[in-house]
Amino acid sequence: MAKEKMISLILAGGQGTRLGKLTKSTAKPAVPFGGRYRIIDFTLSNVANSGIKTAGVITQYQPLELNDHIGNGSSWGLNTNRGGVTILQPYQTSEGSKMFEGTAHAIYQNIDYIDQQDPDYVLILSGDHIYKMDYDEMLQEHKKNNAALTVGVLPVEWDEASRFGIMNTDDENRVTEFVEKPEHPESNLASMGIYIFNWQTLREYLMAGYSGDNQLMDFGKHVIPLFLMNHEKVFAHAFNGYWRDVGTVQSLWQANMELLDAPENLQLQDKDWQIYSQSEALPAAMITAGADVKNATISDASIIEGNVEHAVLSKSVKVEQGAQIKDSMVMPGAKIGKNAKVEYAIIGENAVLEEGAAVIGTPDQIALVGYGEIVHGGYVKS
Amino acid sequence: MKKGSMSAIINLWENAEELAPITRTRPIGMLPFGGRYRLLDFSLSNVANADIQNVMIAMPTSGRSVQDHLRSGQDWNLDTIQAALYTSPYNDLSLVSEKKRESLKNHYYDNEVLFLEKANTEFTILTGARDVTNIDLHDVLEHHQQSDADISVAYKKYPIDQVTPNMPIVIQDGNGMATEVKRAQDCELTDPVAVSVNVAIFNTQTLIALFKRANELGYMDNMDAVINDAVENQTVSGYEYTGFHRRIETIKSYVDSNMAMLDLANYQTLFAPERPIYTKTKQGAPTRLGETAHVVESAFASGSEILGTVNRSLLSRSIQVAAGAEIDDSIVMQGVQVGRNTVVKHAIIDKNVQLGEGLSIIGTPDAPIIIGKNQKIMQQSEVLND
Repeated sequence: MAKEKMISLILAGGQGTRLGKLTKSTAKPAVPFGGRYRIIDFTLSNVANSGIKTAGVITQYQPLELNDHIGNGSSWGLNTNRGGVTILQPYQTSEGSKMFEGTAHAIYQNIDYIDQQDPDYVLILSGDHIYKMDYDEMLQEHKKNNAALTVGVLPVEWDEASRFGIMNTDDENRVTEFVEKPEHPESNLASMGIYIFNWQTLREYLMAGYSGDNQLMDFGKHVIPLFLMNHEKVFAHAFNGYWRDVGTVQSLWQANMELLDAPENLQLQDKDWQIYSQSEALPAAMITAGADVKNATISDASIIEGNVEHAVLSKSVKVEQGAQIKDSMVMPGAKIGKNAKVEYAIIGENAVLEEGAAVIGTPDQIALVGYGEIVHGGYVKS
Repeated sequence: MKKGSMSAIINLWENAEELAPITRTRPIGMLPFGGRYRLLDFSLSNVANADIQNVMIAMPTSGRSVQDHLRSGQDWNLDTIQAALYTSPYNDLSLVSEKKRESLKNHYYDNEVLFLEKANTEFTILTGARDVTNIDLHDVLEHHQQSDADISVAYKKYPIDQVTPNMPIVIQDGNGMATEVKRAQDCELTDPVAVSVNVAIFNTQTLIALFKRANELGYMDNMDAVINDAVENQTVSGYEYTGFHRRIETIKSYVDSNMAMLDLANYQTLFAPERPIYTKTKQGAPTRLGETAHVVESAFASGSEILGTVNRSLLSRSIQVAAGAEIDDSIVMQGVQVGRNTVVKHAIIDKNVQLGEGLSIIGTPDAPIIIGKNQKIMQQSEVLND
């Protein structure tokens, strides 16, 4: 018997408004992370490392940079003739526009693509989380349980549980109830927005819903409650590793600092579960004679002549003489001019801090310089 | 000028005696350079940046390391539908059987002839890998077309005190025509000296004729010898190159040329953004410098973890430097591990070497100590044995 096939669908359309100017012209999954990556690299690498050959990346908001980054998927080894990456964008049809209005709606709008792939299972993922997860383990559990739907859940701190969509389960991990932001949570298992569906079951629900007036827009709000109401077998699959939603400036900064403070969380050097990214041929990074760099990550083609401490620096960053960077994240191509000062900040791609400029935040209020933004000399930005 | 008017042959069979032992397992072209590249990347990028689509790489032996580096040629845009990258192995006949050698008589240059006839371009670039340049081959072509010569050779003017005995010198007559290429030790030098950068352009028909003639004569030698003979019998024009150039001939010149990259001015000249240097792209985490790290005047690639001290050194990918370790004035190749409190000075540490704790690996500026590929050294006594 042929191996049962699972394809992955990555929801990468999120606008990420809470990332402020960083997502003004870029979709959230394309935001740089950790010096050498973009946020979506984690999900795409998980897909590749889990042995899944096909990924449909569903984009909508500002997709240019994301499309450019993903290309033909070769960076993740997803350019084989047994699968591949397809960028799925909204399009016009004779029935009108196919803009995506919710997570489930985005899948419904791409039924043609999924049917063409003819999978047994679909793995639905979100493209904006930082974690390493083996989706094949989840699939094995899904099969063992003979489930219609398996939801990836993360055990969270009990006092935080009321901020999440919580899955109540029985002893066998079967979901009995799904409660969005419960005031008095009965469980601490938060939905990660990761789902494995039997494709035929999901397809029937979507078709029935949209042909009638039950428009299943969202998995959390509409699909899961309906599955539960109809006594479909819904199981929870607990993930116990490191997981971060980097949806705000503060959390993006925090997760970057954690790479320095607790590198064991993500183990980026681990060759057995490598995080892949688009890689370019760039010269080696260079630290010059007068520089002082400690507790930092440095990437290709960066030239460091100043002082860097506790910072994540991306590729092609220039830090000129006398400049000081502390407790910050600097995105690709940014230039920190002579004697400029950066503290508790995120500096966007290709931003320029002119000589003597200062960008100073606090641990609770991270300063942000947008893509290509110029901060003039003598100006203090906080 | 229309695209596709040039082909290129890159000859990786270059005399590596003075670069032993680091060339024991690889041709000169595969030596790491600048923390991120192999020497071959420079020739290949020069070719790619001139939109040359037919490239032949002649290798002394099987060239496993070369194949691994080149793969499909994609990283130099040589795997498109219009382009082609050919490799020709086992050119060094001292490594093949007597019988095979016999069978090659009068056919030794067939591969080159076939390649050139198939590529069917008007001009052909001939180069090697031991010379590091970022040269505009379009400009070389333009010069050549205006010169009416059969061959043009590129040279760079060196102050006489920087010329070493082995450097190939382009001897010119008063009209800028080259009459000979000879080693510096065999010439009477006048300041400045025209040092060949080992880039020549041929009218392809001239080159085919040279190879065919060599075949007829039963000649079976490095193609450079065929070329050098030709310079004396053809009209040859000199092209002056003014960019960055280093010639890797000895261990000392290998180290010095790498160290030259730590000078920001050199780095910025060689890695000029208008003509990027391409290499095999690799995945890897960014390099992490820990809290105990102290790194100055050094270049490094991705995937390393540095907890110790690094001064005036070049580090390739995926290198571990433990806390308390110190690396000065050294070249460290990919995958090396340096244990706690080990001191490495004036050294070349080859690929995947493991150095234990508390060792002293110390050479001198004129005679760097070399630790060969894959060695595992845990005791000081093992250092001296190499």
